[in-house]
Amino acid sequence: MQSRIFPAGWPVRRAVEITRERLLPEDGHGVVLVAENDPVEPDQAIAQGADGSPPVVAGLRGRVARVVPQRGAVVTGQVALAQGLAGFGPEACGPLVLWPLGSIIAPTVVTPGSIVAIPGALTPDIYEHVTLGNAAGIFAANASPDFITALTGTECTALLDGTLPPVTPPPIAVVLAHGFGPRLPGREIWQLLAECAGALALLTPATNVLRGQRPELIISAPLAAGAPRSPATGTTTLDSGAAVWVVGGDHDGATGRIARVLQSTQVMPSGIRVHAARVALDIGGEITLPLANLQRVG
Amino acid sequence: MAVAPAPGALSRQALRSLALVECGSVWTHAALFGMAEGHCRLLARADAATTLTPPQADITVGLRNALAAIEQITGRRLISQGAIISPETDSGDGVDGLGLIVSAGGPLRVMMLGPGIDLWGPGVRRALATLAATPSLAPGLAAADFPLFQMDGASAQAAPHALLVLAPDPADLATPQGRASFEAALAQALALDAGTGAPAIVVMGDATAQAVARQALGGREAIAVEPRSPTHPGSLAATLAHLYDQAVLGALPGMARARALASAPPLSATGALGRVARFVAQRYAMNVLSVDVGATSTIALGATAQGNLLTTLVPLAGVRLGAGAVLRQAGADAITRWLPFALPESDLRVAVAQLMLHPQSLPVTPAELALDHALAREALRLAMEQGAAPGGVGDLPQIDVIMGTGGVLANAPRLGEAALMLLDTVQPRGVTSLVLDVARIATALGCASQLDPTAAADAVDMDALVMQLGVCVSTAGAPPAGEPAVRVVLEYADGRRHTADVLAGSIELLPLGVGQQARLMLFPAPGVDVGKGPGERAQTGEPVEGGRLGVVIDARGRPLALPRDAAQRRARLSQWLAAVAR
Repeated sequence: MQSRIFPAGWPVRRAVEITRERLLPEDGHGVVLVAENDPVEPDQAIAQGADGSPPVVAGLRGRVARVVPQRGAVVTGQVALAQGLAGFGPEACGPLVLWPLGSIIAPTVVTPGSIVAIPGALTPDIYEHVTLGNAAGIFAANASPDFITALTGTECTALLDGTLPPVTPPPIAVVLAHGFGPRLPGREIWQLLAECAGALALLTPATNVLRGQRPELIISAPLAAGAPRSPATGTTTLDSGAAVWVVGGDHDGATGRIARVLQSTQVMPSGIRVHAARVALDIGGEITLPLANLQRVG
Repeated sequence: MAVAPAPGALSRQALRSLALVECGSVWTHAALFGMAEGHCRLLARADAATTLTPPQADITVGLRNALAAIEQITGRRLISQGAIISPETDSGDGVDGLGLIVSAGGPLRVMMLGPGIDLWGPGVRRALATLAATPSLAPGLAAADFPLFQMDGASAQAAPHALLVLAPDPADLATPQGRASFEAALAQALALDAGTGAPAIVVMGDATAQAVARQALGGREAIAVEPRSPTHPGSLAATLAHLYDQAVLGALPGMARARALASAPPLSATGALGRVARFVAQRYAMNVLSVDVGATSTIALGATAQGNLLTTLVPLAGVRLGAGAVLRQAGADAITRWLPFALPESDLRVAVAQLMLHPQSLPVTPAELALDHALAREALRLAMEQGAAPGGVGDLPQIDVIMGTGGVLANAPRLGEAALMLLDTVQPRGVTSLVLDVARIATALGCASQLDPTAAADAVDMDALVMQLGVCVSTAGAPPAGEPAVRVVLEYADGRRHTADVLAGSIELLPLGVGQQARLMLFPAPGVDVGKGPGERAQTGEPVEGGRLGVVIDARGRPLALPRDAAQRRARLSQWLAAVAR
């Protein structure tokens, strides 16, 4: 199923209106169960394939913007959204459940059909526990490439560039918010997930770096009255005060705010000369980094 | 200039300025050229992130951002109300033409099948390479043998754009076996078609073969190409160019708007670089090897003094999005052997995956830079290996000039690092000139030649846009124990002499600055070859030109062998780097 025809683009969006195509596979035909302007709930079936395969659900709370005959519908709604970097397996829709911070085994939190958010590394033990609990998906901070390769039977870089499909497709959706290696969970994402625990969420793991395709977690959370809403089109400009994630270098994965964008180019410890900014890290201290290594958050 | 102007070429009289934009898979580079005292000069260049992906998902956003950066540098307005200001105004704003180079989107994926692969293969590969396309040949595929299933793994997510069915020789087609094998290939094309979306089917063969194909394909539309000879694949190049334009460029978001901004049809990076390589080869009557290591792909182009162009493109082998492919094809050991420090394989996999996920990131630490350079070496080595196939750069009879371009080479903090990357992978023999596209505008110049060939030639001559690193002497063979590999004598224009004995296994720089000339005399030890045969002395007929590195004596031998012991290898890598560090 294609779900990112109208992608959003920012790693964390607390309240944003999005539009997603929710369709049967390209070679599948079936019956569309909704009409234009119908209100829809995230777990509501909107199309049923003729071959008896599971129905396509709306995935988000909103309304049907357009019906695609025999395939499904285009759905629009106001959601919270967290982008990941890498994902594998089938998409999943279910209630969002938080794995307690610091817990290695927490049997009570895994409910069947849920999407389990893990604010740390996805380890083989945790994966096994979650799948035994019949969860529908996992949204974790990171994992090791070796684990993903073992899980899918395919070299993980081949999954990222779409050269090869998984030899053993994971039975549930797996999305890594920050990619590979021991990267700390981003505060903004996990704060958002904590606020949205229990809400229905759609996890779409489809990833292809060559096409710029990234996985995402769409949460249909009821908005509190007066809650701040993200503009439909945010800015990606790097300027003073912008919240950023650091990519690469000794502070890879750290978060902070741009203190100032430097006018002249700077020489990095590697020796390369770059356009750069001073970044005040959340953990304290201020460092100089290439603008190319800063990712704007929210 | 040997390259004929394109239909959209501007008249010399009209030209006052040109903006050239290259939209790569990760970065968009813009360059502004203008007339000064009757010559075309580089006025400014700038980069911006390519914006093919969300939230922008429009190639023109990155294009405009790069041009806006040029506006900021020069104070010259180039865009007004979303449109390029053209022609140049009396106040000096705008440009007379905008050239567009597109390497984003990757190559045209063509899958060749059919019993005519042996017959038409070399000519077809040449045509494909020229178009920035690459054949996806399943390993072991040969006449009357169709293990096309091996393509299926990739086809699930990287389906071919075109299925090229090659008919057998007309005499073979007349036999029952020949016809059956051709019909089997056509049936396979139909089967692949059903499984991979809707790639174009191109049938290459004479009129009889086309008739057989029409019958076998039923109502399925196919494009007919009749080859003129085994070395001339008829209209195949034009056919594939059309498919490339439709299937690859046409799929890029915002491409229609980008076309509307440009003064001529977009060129592929391969095409643009090929024009530059040809120009340099013909201008200086030398064989030129031009290599471009990019984020996603790596290109090696060979241009001969006679005007021939040999192209090898590895579509997925680069230092960012193509880094995973390098790791898979070359292996972890091949990459880590170039690092001056130990890196466990698991850590390498994490690093490579993160580079793929953050393609715009730049190396901040020395370790990250070393990994970039290691990936570049292996990407380039893969290209040179692939280029050994007929029609590839391996057919270049002798390499006189190696020209390096692409971010990882151009951005190397020290010129010696770029030189080592080229020498370690190309491994030239004898005397070779090393040049580096430090301004990263080689492809822009190729595009400029499409709009105004004279302007492009002017820019090359006037701005020394391609930096001369120096002349390199490479030795092959081992000297007797205790003897140096080669004695080198440089005789300067003022009569002074500089003599150096260079030990086997080492690399040294001899002083010969930019603008200086010297006569080069080489006295190799018995068994050591400097290009004239083992032990044969050599002397350049003309004085050699100096460069930023001087004269590089690479006495490390050919093929280059790295010590097996990790500690020794790292020590050797550090020595070599220190020897050329400038």
